[in-house]
Amino acid sequence: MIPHPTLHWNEILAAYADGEFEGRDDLAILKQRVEDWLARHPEAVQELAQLRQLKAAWQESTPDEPAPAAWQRIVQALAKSPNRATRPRRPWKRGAVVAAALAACVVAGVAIWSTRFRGAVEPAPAPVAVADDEPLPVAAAHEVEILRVEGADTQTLVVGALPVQGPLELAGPGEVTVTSVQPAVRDNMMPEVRTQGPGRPMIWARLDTD
Amino acid sequence: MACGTALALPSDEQLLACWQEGRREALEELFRRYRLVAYRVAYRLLGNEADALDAVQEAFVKALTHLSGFQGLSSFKTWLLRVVSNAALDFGRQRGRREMLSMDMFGPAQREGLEPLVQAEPTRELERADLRRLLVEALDQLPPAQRQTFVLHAEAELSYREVADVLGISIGTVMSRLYYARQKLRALLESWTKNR
Repeated sequence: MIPHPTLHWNEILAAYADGEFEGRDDLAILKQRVEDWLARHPEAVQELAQLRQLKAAWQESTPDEPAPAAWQRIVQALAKSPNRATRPRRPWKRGAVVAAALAACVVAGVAIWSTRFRGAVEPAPAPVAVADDEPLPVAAAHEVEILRVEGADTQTLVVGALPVQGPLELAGPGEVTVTSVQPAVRDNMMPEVRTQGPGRPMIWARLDTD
Repeated sequence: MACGTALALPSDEQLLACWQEGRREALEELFRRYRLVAYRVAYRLLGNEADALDAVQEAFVKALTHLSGFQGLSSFKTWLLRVVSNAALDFGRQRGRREMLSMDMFGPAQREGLEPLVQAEPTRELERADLRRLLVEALDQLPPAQRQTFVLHAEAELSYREVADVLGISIGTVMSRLYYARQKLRALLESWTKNR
């Protein structure tokens, strides 16, 4: 299991309760963090207990196994179903395929001949005009599942794949020159400016600005 | 993979190879291995025994006649459970789950005269049936995707990675769906647990 960058703490706690961190060396640090968190937060311990209570209720209500006669009925039905992998070969099938291919070639040839030499090409249908403000349905309501809307996303809800996956590099190394650095108003601290390596200056552009 | 002659404990892949060579006993062994987990997944999604059995039968038929869709990227079990859960959701959509829930009020044994294998103490059994029905009703209120994700994890005991592979979604989405499913189930079960 690889932690998702936008996971809620409760989701990580649920993964811990589900044993997803067990036997995973790569998640040992995360597991330790969860346990440290539990040691400091009684409400988290209560949350963990509720998760385990739900799991216990689920297991307690496990459906009983059906009677053997019910299984037997299904086995008999399965035995009657065709086994496509063992279906006998049909020697006539190859001939039929060849005949169909030849027929398709003849039809295509006639179509090309009639188009080139008769010159009677029907005009293409006129495109249907679509008003600029007419919505174009791309998915029905039941085909979209919104799992979470939070923060700035509430202003711009995006349904579907994002146009850009991962970081969008606006300028490369050497294309940015830092001409002046001002101390922060809040604490009067000067930022540390790195010009080399992965910590080089970054430009953040707000999409809603001019 | 070739079909062995007399393997003590053949793998799923060996059984599939045997079945493709026409050996029906391989199909029976595959069915025996996964019938119970398939049934329980279907039951949780449908809420009654008769429809769960129908869904299991249909899923096995679908799985075995469309083996080309099984590319060996996941285990046969996880692939089969995907087929089973999809078949069960289709059943639910076609027949209307409310009607099925009312059918299950009397329990499975009374409907077809089939006695369950384990006959527990009557009071305890009633309590379990009550809880089971409550969970089915609670699950029914979840969106199908959340319901399927939760059941595959909780009933089939698939790991997050396996659920993600089965449904073709990310692990983060699995965790989100499980979170919201649990939130809803807990709220619905709260009254039940208080009254115990």
